[in-house]
Amino acid sequence: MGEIVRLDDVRKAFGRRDALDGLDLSVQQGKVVGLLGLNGSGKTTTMRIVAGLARPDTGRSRVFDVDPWSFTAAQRKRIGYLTERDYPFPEQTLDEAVALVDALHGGIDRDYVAHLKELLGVRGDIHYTAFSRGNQRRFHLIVTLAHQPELLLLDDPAQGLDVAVRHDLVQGLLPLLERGKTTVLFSSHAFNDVERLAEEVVIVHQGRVVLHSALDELKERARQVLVPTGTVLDCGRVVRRHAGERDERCTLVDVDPERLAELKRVGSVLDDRGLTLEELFLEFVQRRREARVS
Amino acid sequence: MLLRIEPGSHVPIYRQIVEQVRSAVATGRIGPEDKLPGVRELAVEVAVNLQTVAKAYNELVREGTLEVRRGMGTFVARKSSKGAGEAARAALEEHVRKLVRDARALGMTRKELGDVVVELWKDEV
Repeated sequence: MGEIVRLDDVRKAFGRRDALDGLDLSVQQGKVVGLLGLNGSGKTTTMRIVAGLARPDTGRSRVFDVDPWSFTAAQRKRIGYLTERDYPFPEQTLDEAVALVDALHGGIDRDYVAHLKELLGVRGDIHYTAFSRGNQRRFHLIVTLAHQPELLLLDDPAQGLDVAVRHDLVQGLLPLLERGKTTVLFSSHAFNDVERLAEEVVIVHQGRVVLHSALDELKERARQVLVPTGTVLDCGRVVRRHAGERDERCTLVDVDPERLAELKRVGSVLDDRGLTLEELFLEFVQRRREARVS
Repeated sequence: MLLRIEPGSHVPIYRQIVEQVRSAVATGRIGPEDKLPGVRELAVEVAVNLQTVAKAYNELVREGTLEVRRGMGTFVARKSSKGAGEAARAALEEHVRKLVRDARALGMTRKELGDVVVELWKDEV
C-alpha cells in the first residue's frame, strides 16, 4: 500500500485570511478517509490543492508522487472530484455529461456507467435542472465516477439532502468503496455518514490537521474521566480539561486501558465514560479556539 | 437476525456488530450451522463500510463464534469453542446485569425477581 496523498506544512492565504496554516496530511492507498471541520476550516481548500486546482503559497504537496499543480492530463484523469457546488453545466442530461467526460479523458467504460446509473437510480436522458436535489447530487456523483478514478475527492456529497436521500446515497456509495480499489477523501458535516463510511477520520481546524486516526481505534481509546482537580493523568493524551469546583472532567485519547483501570482502582480516577465522534470533534475544535484566545 | 447499528454511539460500529451477533448466538436467536449474510450484503443492509463488517466477522471467527466454510459462506460455529462459550456467557451476563438493574429500579426484591425467572423458566421448558 503506497501513499497516495501527502501534504507537508502547506500554507494558503486568500487576502489576509489564512485558509491553510501549516497543514500536514497523508492518505494511504485504498483508505476511506472522512474529513471533518467547521465551515471555513480549510477542508475545501485542501481538496482543491489535492485536485490540482489551487496552488499552495508554501509547503510541499504530492499526489501520486507528483505536484498536483503540474498534473498532466493523464495524471488528472486518475482523480474524481465532486465539488460542493452544483454541476457546472445544468442544461445537460446525464448522458451528455458522461459524453463530455469521455471527450475530456477518453476510454469511458459504458458498462460501468450503466451500472452506476442503475445502482444510484438516475436516468440518462433528463436535464440536470429537472432533477430533485438528491438526484442532482447523484447525477454529479456519476459524472465524477464515470472515468473510474483511483482517488475520489467528495466535498460534502450529501449536502442539502434529507435523511432518507442521504441514507440512499451512503448505501449507493458502499459497493464502490472496496479496499484497495479506490482511495476516498470525503468531507461531511453529517457525523453519522462519516461513521458509516470512513475507516479513518481527519479533523481540520483553522487550517491545520488537529487529529488523524483510525475511527475504531479513536473511539475505543477515547475516554472522558472525572478526577480531583490537579490530578496528573498518565493514562493517555489529554485533549481538554473542564475545571469544576473540586474536580475536573478530562477528555483523553490514546488511552492505555490497563493504566486507566489501575488509576480507577486506586481512586485517582473517580468515573469514566466513552465519547461519540461528535463529542470528540467538539473537544478538539473548542480546545483550539480557547488556545487561540489565551 | 436483525442488527441495530447506532453510528452516533461511543461504541465502534464493528464492536456493535460483534456484540449483537454474540448475543444472538448466546440467546439462541441463531443456532449452530445457521448461515450469516455475506459481508457485502450485511454492509449494504445496515449501511456501513464493508471493512467494518469484515472486521467484525473476522473477530467472531477468531474467537470461535462463527466459522467460514470455503466457498459457502460464514456460519455459526458447529461446536462452539471455549472462547465462544465464554464470550456468549459474558454477553448473557450483560443481559442479566441489565435485568437486575431494571428490577432494582422498579423496587423489586431479589426474591421477587427470582420468582419471575422461575415462572418464565417453566413456561419455556
